[in-house]
Amino acid sequence: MNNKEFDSYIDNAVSQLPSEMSPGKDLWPGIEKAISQPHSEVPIKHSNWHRYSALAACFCLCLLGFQLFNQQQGPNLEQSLNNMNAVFQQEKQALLVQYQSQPAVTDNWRSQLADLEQAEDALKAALENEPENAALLRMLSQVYQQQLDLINKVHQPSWQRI
Amino acid sequence: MLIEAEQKFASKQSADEERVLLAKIQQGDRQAFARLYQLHHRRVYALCLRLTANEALAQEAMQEVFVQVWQKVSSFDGKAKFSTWLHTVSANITISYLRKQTNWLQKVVSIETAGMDEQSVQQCEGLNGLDKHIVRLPEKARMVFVLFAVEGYRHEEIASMLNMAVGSSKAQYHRARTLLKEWITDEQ
Amino acid sequence: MKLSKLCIAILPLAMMASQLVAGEIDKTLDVSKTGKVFIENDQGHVTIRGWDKAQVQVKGFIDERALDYRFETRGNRTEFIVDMPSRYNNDGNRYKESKLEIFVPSSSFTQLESVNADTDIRGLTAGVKLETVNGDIYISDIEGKINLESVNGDIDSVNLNGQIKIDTVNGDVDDQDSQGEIRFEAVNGNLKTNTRADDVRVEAVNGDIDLNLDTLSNLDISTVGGEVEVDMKAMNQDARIQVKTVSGDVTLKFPTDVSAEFEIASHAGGRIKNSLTANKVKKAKYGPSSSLEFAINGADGEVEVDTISGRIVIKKR
Repeated sequence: MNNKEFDSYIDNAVSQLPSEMSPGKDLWPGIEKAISQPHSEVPIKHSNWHRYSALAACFCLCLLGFQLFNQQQGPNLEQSLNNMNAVFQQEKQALLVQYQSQPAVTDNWRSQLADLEQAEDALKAALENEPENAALLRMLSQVYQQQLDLINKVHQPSWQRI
Repeated sequence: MLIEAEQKFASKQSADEERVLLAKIQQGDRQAFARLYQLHHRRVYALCLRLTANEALAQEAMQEVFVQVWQKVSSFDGKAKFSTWLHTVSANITISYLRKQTNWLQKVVSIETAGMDEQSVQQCEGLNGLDKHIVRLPEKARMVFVLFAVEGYRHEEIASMLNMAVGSSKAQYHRARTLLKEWITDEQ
Repeated sequence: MKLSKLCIAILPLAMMASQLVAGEIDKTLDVSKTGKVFIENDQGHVTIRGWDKAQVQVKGFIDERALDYRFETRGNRTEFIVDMPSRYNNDGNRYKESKLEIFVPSSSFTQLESVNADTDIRGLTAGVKLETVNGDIYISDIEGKINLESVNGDIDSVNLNGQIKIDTVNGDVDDQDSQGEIRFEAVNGNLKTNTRADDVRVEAVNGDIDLNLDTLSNLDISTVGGEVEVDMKAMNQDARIQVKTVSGDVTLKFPTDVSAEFEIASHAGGRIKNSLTANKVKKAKYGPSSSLEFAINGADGEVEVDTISGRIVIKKR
């Protein structure tokens, strides 16, 4: 079609565009929370960096809390460990996908991540032997956190330019 | 006649409701704000999604918009239509939000953010017709196209919003048109 | 065509903060003495010095690729920002980079963000926050809340006093004479410190860690691999020392009069060497773990060490 035809095609297509779209999920709770802060300039903690920070902090606390509560219940601890692992793996994958088209600012992060993954395996193996060892649990949650930290730091430092 | 009168009455009713809501919101009434959100968020989201071409960013930008609207609602003077004011605020907040997300790394490695790839377009529900192509446009071209052709801003206004020269805005619009034409004729 | 002419030819005309970049700058603003100063400059070299005046002065040369700069103060907040284009050639050898000297009130909080620029900063008492990707940081004589972050750049610090956090991915850290509370986070970078801080935390992956400590109340080390050497001159009452390493080699040197309860465990084939007392390492009946537990000189402090497969050595300094 020629330019004039295309112009009217575009005009028509634009006028047909829906004026409303629904986001995939309910976003109101996040907004309500943000405006309820006493100092209303607190931004919504929405970027992945903030999200993982909260999650990473949660690993340590959750694992510790669980350890304290479930000294006698071996199988339960194992299950919650599996859950923790599943949540962490999901978060890690989400980050890796998010950054996959972004170049990293270091060239050795993958081998560093591999070292951390090896450490993760060693800790899990040790935990099989001593499932209620608080020190081992803390080390594992730390290694999880270090992996997420690393992926974020080399793709997007903690500050962002305005 | 009757139909016209009914429509006029309906739109006056909603204008009245809006005035009441805004007054309540300025007093800090959160329930009124929730109602305002319900009435307007889908329109705001459509704008955010078209500008950002990324569902996650669009969702975050929209939340940011409403948080700021809550803070700024006292600065709405009631002279223009609320929805017009809301749209301008949404566009500006989304633009500045996008700038924060993408500016840093671009400076280091000099890439302009591409639009959505075809696979993501398929997976993103609610994108039909021209929207399917708009989200594929590279960032600057897309933002200019959306602001000019869909939202009706002038190039002078767009240049100021996007911190570029008026000539660049026109050039980006031309670029958008060329790409859209290519994709649409390919489709046919 | 000379590059600077080319730059000007393609400069967008509708710039908001309308100060043309000429290169040389020497500007001074009157500011609050106890305000905050924010500096952004991607490339080159920035020197920051604290002074006694209620002024911020910026002088030197601004990167010739820059589109613009903003230097303004409002209320208690002052900004100096070099605006680089969203795409530019990164070759520092071809283009003249920023070389700036910035004086700020020594009682102002100062924050700097850079990508490749090196920073040399000295003489502030209200804390700093420095963030860089590849730049090196030389920092001395700073008090307050101190936050240093780099990805690849090195950090050399002297005489920091306060709540200190140093975070690097690959850069090396050399810290001397710090005091207060200090926390190091590194992935691969090496860390060496001579500190008087009594609260020290280290989290690392594979770097080599060399800690020389004065009087200690709290020490927390967590590594994956790498070599860790800790030398403690004295331990305060109720001192707590916690070391966890997956596979690293850790040597802890204690003061001769150390009084503490020791619990050292290796969980899968690691080695424990006790040169402090005659107590023996016990191997578990089943499984690969071994442990060493004893108290010495009144058991005042607590020392807890865990490793999977690393090597732990405890001895007197």
